Amino acid sequence: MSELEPPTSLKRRDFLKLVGVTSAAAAGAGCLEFPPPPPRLYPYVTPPENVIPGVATYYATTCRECPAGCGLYVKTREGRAIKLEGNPNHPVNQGSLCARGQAGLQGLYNPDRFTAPMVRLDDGTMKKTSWDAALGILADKLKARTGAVQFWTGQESRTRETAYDAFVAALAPASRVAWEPFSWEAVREGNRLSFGKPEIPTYDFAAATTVFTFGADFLETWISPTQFARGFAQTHGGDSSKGRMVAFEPRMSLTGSNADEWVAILPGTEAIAALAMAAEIVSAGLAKGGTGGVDLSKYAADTVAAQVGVSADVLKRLAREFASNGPALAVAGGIASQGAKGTEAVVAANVLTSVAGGVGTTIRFDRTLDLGTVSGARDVQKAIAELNGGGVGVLLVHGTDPAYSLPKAMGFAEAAKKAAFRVSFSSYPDDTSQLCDLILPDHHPLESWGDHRGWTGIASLMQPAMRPVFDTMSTPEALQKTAVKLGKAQGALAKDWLAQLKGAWSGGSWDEGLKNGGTFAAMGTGGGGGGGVSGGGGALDFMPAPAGGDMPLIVYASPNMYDGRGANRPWLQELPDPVTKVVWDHWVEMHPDTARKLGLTRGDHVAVKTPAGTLEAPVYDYIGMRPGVLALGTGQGHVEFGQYARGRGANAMTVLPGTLDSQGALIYQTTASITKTGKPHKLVYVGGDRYQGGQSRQMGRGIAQSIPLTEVGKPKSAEEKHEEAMHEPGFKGAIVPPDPIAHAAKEAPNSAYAHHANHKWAMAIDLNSCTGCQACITACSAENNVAVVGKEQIARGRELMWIRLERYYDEKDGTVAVSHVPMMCQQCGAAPCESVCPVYATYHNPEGLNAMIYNRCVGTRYCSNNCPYKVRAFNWYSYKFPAPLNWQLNPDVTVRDKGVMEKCTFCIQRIRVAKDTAKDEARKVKDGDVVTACAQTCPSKAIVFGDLMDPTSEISKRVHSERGYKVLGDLNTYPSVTYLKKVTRGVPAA
Amino acid sequence: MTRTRLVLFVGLAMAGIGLTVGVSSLQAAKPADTLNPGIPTKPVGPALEQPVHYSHKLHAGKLGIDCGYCHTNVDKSPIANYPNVETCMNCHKYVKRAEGQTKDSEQIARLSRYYELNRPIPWKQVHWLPDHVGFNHKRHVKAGVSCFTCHGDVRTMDVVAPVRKLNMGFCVTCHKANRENAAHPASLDCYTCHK
Repeated sequence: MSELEPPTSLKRRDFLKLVGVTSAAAAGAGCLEFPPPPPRLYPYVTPPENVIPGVATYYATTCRECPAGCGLYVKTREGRAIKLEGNPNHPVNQGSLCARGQAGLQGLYNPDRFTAPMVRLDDGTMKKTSWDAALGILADKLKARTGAVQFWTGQESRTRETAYDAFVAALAPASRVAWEPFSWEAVREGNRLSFGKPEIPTYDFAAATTVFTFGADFLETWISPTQFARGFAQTHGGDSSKGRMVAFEPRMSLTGSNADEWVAILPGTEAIAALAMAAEIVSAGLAKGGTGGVDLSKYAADTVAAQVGVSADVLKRLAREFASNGPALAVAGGIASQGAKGTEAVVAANVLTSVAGGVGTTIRFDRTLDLGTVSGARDVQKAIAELNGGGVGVLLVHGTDPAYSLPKAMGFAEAAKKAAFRVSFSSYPDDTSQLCDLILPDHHPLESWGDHRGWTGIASLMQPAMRPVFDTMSTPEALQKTAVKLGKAQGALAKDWLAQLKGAWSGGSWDEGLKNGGTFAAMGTGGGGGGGVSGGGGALDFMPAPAGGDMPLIVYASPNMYDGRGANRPWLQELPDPVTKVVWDHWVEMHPDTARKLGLTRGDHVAVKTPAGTLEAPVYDYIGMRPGVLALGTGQGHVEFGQYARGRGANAMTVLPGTLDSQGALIYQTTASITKTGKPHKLVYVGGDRYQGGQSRQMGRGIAQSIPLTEVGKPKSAEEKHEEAMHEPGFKGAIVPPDPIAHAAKEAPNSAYAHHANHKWAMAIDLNSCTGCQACITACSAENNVAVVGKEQIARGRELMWIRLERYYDEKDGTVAVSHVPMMCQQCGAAPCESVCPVYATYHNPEGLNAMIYNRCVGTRYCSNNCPYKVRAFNWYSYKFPAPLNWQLNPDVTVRDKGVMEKCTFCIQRIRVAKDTAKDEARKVKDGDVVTACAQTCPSKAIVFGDLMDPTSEISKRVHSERGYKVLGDLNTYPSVTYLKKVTRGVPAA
Repeated sequence: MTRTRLVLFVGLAMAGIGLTVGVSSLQAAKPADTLNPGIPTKPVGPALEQPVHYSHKLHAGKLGIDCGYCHTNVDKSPIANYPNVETCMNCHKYVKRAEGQTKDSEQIARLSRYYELNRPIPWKQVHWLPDHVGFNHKRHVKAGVSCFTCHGDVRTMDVVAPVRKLNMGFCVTCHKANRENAAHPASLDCYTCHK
């Protein structure tokens, strides 16, 4: 065989011997050398009670990411908060938590947090100091000041307000300004005119069959989004067969994308659109309530339709529907209440609800939202004038960032510099703290004692879920210590903060409050405020101002960034904007036709010039816009806010005029012109709507399916059956692979597959309930140690998030229908990914999961190649969790290294814990023991998870729903996730 | 192969077989307990000198203190624990020297110092598993796996040395043997341990 010998001098036998010896040596060395041991093992010195290392301890507290005040359960492990979950007993969120709430942990562990009090030196740099020294400086400055004290706060909880006001009173002349950027001033003013009460009433979406929203993004940021989403899902989602929602807005928000009909009115015309419909109801004799003295004859549909930009017939049709399909609810908020006719829009919506008889049912004042004393825009103007006049000796700022969130035209930054001494209590460096001389960082809400008054009857308690991460101090305590130094510690200031809280706690037993997160009287359906609107709105002029030459520019609240506070959380930057799916950026939106007219394509960098200023942003052409209208979101463009937010995008507040509407609410709209800058800019968005004809169109794939309301419950026609069958396994005699478990039992009876599995895990996602809010994605990332990869990597298609919210457009009849589909690993029964892994790192486990064993993966990425759903994410780098973000990591989940594939695991760690607990208690796992992170956090309860082998489980019922289908089911992958079709509600029969 | 080599090879093989048979015959004397196949004695790693010289031979062996008195969470948590410093002080607040000693023990003084300073003792970990393994200690203890099966007879160790290679092969062998164990079935599903 010499001619077949390899031409090398190394003979085959010698080569094999060499390989054998080296591998034996390596194995031998490996036998003795295990992975390197951890550095040290530290026990407790004195163990805390009720804490068992390895077992999670939960604390009930309250979320403070927005004024809604949802109840939280904080999961802590060994003294570290690692996951936020909704408090199931809290009536506002009922166990759910929005994306911003979930991201609260990244506020707690933010790498840019102030770690100690800081004092600004003469050369402008900040130096750390001690609390005693810092408070000493504050006391000295307060003692020696000339001029008043101005204390700027956000919307604070009641007892904090008492503490702050006591401090302010002790320092007279002094005043407090509570500037909460989204405090819905126009809504309160409008309600004052309509109902005599300047309050936020209960908007009962669960009781409303027909909802008309004028700009109110009640599924995103408006007032209490998780609560409204839940209520909305009860009438509009799930198996509900009633409820139609119509959105009247020039820009289709996420809320608008969930509407059954989107009416693209011109900005500023919300008021007359609502009144036109009210007028139609009255003239058709369908009115069930009064108009509150508003003369509707001026606003008849035929008169105002042209101004609204919608045909009169549409307005009339919708009006009749509103009146005939009650109970009906009209809400005006968001961009509608932030225009020049903002308060008017609210009053008009109230009139519309009133004539349809909704007041007292869908709008009630028995339970109102306690916003405390938030200042109106007029008070803000006065305060800035006082600053400008040089009359302020000491400026204190807590829980608000006016240099960022007030329109620049109001001149806060310039005025603030005139205050002799400026103090910030902010946890993070921000635009306002940049101007300050002394930083006294407050605890993060998760480290704080506190209370929060939300809706009437709901008293929420806040307790620290862990010790402070850094050397911070709660602001009431800092003020109390300062008062002691000033010799003014009397009254409320004499007591320490916890004593004050306990003294003020009127919600029953303190301990019960700590355990439950507060005391909650149930949100009832009691009456209150019935009858209709009162006469306050009669004097208003609802007509919009005549349009100027430039295009109207509206500024909307970003669901991820909110008023800007979300920008320093990498999860929220990485989370795609739910409407445009853009990440890590800020953009200006316009209709594709408008863009074409201006000679612009997506991503072009432009200057947006308004009378108040100019900002630069890339263009995002969005078909959900009224042509000729521009839109900017809030939240980006911080001058300073940490590494994730600094210098990113542009601040919409820089181009707003800072003018007020007729009732004193700030206007967030203006007019603008667009010019190309020619600068290069990379706009990065995930999936969907790429110019190259991409993924925002279904193209017949049947991924997001829907069924008309009229067809629900009816036997299917032959065409429908055929259409469905096309997307189901087994179509047209396709080869159907055998059930893998049964197959294994026959072919490999000794293998793990063949053993009887006790569970078959499955999930059902109801597309009729899903609003596309993406809370599930943030919850999943928090639970499963999913790293943030950054803009560059996402630009290369390397997003790591385990769930993606697919968004499909369906353009028909001149309108746009939007579908939202949460997509994660389908845990396929016949997974295409399992058979191609060369190292068996992914396999099918006996409980129906597609398991992923990270340390075995060698990174061929063949599995992702084979996955038809493209739900597998690869770690192209060892992504970092900069300290202390790594404190948030879940110890029950491996942190993946470079070169490893990862994907949704149906929260196997939670399944394991549930089985462990059940075994301890000598019982079977029951339905509800295992809740995946995504299902737990969803405000609409769109996701259900459970065991198919339990016939009584919720999931067993859902999979048999007539609306159930499998995405790409015709590929015969046997997914474990069943999707339930969205129910579409067209125009109801006249 | 030459004759010599052949004889050598066969001889080694037979010795190998003999050795295996010999070892298993030692254990054949006991009834088959799949959960506790035997107590290993030969160290497979170094006996690590710890910051405070704690002798299991004295405390667990001579004094007969139960493992669970100090290692309190082994049946309560998926993570076993080294004892809290306070547990040591339960006795050593009062016991400062061994019987018959003329002066106080230096080690107990070191221990007390840690407690006074409220600092945890930085133990070196003797038994550890890599980060990607989720080993549930409570489950094994409750199933009836004896401490000595994995940790060896600690009562005889002055300084603890590992006597079991805690590699995956060890885990899988026992899990295989207990697959059909009606009272305590052990799963061979990868997800059982790999988190």
